[in-house]
Amino acid sequence: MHIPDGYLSPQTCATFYAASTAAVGFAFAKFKKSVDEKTFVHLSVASAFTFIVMMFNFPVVGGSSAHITGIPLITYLFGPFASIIASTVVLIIQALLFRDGGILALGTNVFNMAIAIPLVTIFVDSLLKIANLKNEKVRMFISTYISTNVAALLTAVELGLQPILFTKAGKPLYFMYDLKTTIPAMMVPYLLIVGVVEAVLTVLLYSPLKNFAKIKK
Amino acid sequence: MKKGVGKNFKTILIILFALAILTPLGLLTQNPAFGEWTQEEIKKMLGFVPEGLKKYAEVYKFDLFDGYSVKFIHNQYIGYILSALIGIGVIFAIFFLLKHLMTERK
Repeated sequence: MHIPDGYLSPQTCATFYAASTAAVGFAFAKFKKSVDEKTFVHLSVASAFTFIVMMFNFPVVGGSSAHITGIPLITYLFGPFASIIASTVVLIIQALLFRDGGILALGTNVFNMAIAIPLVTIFVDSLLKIANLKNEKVRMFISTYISTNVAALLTAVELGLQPILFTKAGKPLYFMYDLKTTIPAMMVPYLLIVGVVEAVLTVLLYSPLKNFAKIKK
Repeated sequence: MKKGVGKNFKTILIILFALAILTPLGLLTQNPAFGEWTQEEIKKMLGFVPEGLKKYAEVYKFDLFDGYSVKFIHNQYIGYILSALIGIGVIFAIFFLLKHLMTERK
C-alpha cells in the first residue's frame, strides 16, 4: 500500500500533503493536551510494533504480495490521535530510511494509512455501538476489516485516477492502469485475505496487550 | 507503579526483538505488491516507462537500506533483521527526543 514516487502527479502529491499535514497537526494538538511520560512509552511501542508488522509480507491472490499494518490494533489500544502520530512516524521512517513509499507520495501514504485507518476504525466502532452491538470483539473485527479495506480503496482510487487525469499524447504520465484495473486488483486481495488477517490479529492481540496500554503512572 | 511500566516495557522489548528476528519470514514471498513495481518491472509490463514516472521516481537518492536490505551486507535475511532493528532503534530515539522536548517545555 506504500505508493512509490513517480506513480502520482505532483498535483495529487501536493493535495494530500496539505490534507495530511492538517490532520496530523490536529491529532498532535489533541494529543499534546494529555501528554505525560507514559504516553511516549506507548507511542514508541505502538510505532515500533506497526513498523515491524509491516515487514511481514505474505503472498495474496493474483500473484502479488501484501502486508497488514497493525494500525487498527494500536488505535484500539491507545486511541486515534496517538495512533495517527505513531503510524505517521513509521511512514516517515520507511520513506526516508528504507525507501518504502516515496517522499513526494508520503503525504498520500500518510493519508491512506496513518489517518484513514484510525479514523475509520473509531468511526465504524462508534456506529456499531450506536447500533447496540455489544460484543466488543465483533465490533473490533468489523471495524478493522472495514478500515483496512478503506485504506486499500483510497490507494486504488488515487492510483487509478492518474491515467484518467494525467496523460500526454495518449500515454499515461504517471501510474498507468485506470480504476477498472486498480480497484479489483487492490480490493480482491484486501477483501478476501488482508482485511481478514488484520481483523483476526486485532481481536486476538487486543486482550493480552490491553493491560500494557492501561497502566497508570 | 512506575515499576509496572518498567516490567511491561521489558516484556514488550523482548517481543519486539523476537519479532525482528522473525521478519525474514516476510521475505518468503518474492512477489511485488500491486502498484509497487520498479521501473524495470514497469518496462517489462508496458514496454515503456511513463515520462512523469521516470522523472519523479528517483528524486530521493538515499539507498543505504533500500527496501530493507543493507547495502554492505549480502545476506538478505541478515540485512532484513538488521533493518528491523535499525527501524525500532530510530523510532525509540525519535520518541525519546520528543519526550524530552515536550516535557521540558512544560
